Amino acid sequence: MNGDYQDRIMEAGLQEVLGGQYPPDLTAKILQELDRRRVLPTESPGLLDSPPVKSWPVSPLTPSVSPVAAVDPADRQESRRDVSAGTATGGVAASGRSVMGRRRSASRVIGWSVAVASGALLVLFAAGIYVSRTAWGPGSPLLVQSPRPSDVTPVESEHADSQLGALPHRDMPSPWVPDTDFSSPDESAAIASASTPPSSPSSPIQEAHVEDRPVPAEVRSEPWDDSRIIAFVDQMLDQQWRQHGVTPAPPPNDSQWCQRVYQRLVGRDPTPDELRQFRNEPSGRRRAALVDRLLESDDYARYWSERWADTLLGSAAKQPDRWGVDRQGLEQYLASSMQEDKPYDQLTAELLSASGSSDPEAADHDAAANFLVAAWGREGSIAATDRVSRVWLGKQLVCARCHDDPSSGWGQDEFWQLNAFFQQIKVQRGPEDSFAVVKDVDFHGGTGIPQDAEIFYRGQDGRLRAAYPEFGSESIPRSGLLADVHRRQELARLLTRSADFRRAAVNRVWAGLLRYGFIEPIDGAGPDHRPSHPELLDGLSEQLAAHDFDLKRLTRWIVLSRAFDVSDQRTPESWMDTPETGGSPLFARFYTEPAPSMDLQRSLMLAVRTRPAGSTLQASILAQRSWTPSSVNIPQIIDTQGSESMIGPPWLDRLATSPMSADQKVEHLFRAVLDRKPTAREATAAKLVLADRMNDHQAVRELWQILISERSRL
Amino acid sequence: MKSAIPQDRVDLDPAALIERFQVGVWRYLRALGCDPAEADDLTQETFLAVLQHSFVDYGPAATAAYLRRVAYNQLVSVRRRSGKVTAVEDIEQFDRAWEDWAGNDEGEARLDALRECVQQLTDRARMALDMRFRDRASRSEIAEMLRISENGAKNLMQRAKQQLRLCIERKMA
Repeated sequence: MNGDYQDRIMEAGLQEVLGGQYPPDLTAKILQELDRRRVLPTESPGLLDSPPVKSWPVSPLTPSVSPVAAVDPADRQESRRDVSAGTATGGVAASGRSVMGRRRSASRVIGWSVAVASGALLVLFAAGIYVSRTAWGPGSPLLVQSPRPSDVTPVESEHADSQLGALPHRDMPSPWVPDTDFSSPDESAAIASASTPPSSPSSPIQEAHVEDRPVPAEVRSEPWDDSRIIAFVDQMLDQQWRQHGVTPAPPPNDSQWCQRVYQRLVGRDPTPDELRQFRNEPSGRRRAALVDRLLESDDYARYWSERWADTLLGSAAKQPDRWGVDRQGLEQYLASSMQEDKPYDQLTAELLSASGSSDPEAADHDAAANFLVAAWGREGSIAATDRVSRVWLGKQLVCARCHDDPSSGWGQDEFWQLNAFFQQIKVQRGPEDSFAVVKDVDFHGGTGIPQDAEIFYRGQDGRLRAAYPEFGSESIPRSGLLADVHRRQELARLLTRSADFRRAAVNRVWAGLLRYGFIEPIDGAGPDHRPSHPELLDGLSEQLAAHDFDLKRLTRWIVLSRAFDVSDQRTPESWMDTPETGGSPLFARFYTEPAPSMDLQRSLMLAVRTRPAGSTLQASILAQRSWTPSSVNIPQIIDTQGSESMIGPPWLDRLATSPMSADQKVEHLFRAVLDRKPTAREATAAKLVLADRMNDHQAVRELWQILISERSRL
Repeated sequence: MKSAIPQDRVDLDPAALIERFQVGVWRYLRALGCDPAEADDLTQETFLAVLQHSFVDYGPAATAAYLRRVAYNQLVSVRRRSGKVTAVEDIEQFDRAWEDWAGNDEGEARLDALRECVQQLTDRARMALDMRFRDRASRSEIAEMLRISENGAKNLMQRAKQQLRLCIERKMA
């Protein structure tokens, strides 16, 4: 037996050594979650951790969110114990089961928790309200003893929240950790700040969240021409500079400007020929011409498709093979959408309502479905709700799941109303998560009446509440039948009309081009994070909608504005403009991105990890080439350096072409830059980077760049 | 004996605790059969569980053992809920095997030795292991690639692993 165990341990070692499955650095993630849990009240963890949507035959009310039953805190402990026993024999599935099956399950659960007579009475009672579907006020004495739906383990993973069963929710409270995405380096801080204790219904949060509700904003402004919009941007920036007594940095010269435009639009430096072409154009229109040329290039589509893929996939972007996500397929879809100038609202609608397989070989393949495959993750509709709000509303709703959230300005009811849009989904995963399929399914609601399909969740006051799909105070038909209404399509319609959608789009693109958005973190909009330039944000948002959500147009306005026409020099007159230390960005200078503070080892490991699962190294090399510049860190590190450091010293070329072995080259680089030998793990990862690049020159430069970053950090 | 050890709760720096032990916990979970994503999740839950309660520091070895036990409990809890069987029959014995392997450095030295030992295998054996652990090929795929039977592939890999074990022991001696 001991030999078996030794075998298994060594196999895990081989998976690390040969398979590149290295331990990640979870420190920040754990500390962030620890902070969140410490802030949240602990006296009733079940309420906070509970999987939210479990059916129980209790009638919803006419309003979309309504108190149904109260749970006496004094009875909670007993109730929990009873329910635990009940779950040993079966729980209540969220949906997809017949009403009779549901009643039988409920009866079994209750049989463990209360006396038989009480159970029968409860069933009769539940059936009564189930049939009548009349409103019940809080504090129903019978439901006080009901098993808490949140404590009931789902038995069948027929749909929607079947993924909730993948991780426990009672002993391991709230296993879900907020995702991260590429453009919000301060996201963790935002999550911590968003994790405030639940407020009472009468607290000031209510005012705030009314103010920040997603606003239906169908009315569109008149489209302005580009020059007017660019002048407007300049004027708004100038206004903020004057208000803060800041003098903007002097403009860059043409070459510097050209270089930064290349870096931000296509993710690389211009070649000498491209720089020459730019210089040879008439000075009056060379800038606009360059921007237009780059926006129509394949490089732009590829680079920004990678960045959007990072945003859409969240944490799954860091592990491309996770959960059956075909990242490459999604990137191709995004790139082709950009090439055909697909409006952003249409793209959003396609991603939100996609159904099909992530497997490119499958007959029902739909690359757009990769977004939901990733968003679904382990937490199912909960995670999808949060990701959708982050990406398209610029808000984190992780806290609103359990309580009204002053940071995002969202109430708990709004979270579940948004979540109700994601109930007509079934996500099936292939063997070893090799692919996944998003399917549309009818939703029968918590009480099994598909024409009036609600979800239930536990309110912060301990009461069971029902929610129907509603967004921005607009509701849709309550039916869960696809023949009646396709909820995700309806959500796409409502969401893309909202003001939050526009603002989030502008903020995200602005931040993608200028490093900081008007709202930081990028998905932290809400009362706690007001925009630095509210008028500019609103103005650009309106014009984006007026121009049919043309992101290239938005990009053009930004790049041709003064925001791009200030140098990166810190001057005495612009010392106040320091968003790096937490202040509001004024865009009085061009913020250059420092090399990521990750250490060398992690950079290299991430490079290794980009190899898709199940592929050969050769295939991965080809894949890497097709992704170049990769969305992982090495090209970004390079991207963030000036051109001088990008080129590197002349001896790099000699090293690249020398007859040295890969081991010797790696050691040479380490000794030259860090004055030490690489560790075994560093050497392994570095050699994979060498093998994974198009040519030796490029590979050596990239390694050199990483080591320079490491030396700077040290 | 325990009284000789400081019993007071020590105010640990959570970040330091995580940084010091997370690699060991993660690798331990991987050795228990978790996939990388599951190991990520359970490592996180392990530290959260420990950091949310009183913690007595008896020194690095005891802390590592305690974290391993918490991690194992978390794994058992997850497996039970998902209806899966926990794959380790004798956790005490498994722990001993793990301690032998991990030593005081979370297994770093052995992994370094393993890397070097892999290079000393025959080309065929290395190819078989590469396919298995890098490309996640099945035994039949390996057999097909090497033009041997499935049993032959199995034996080849077993021998390779045995050689690796001996090689590592020599290097660690």
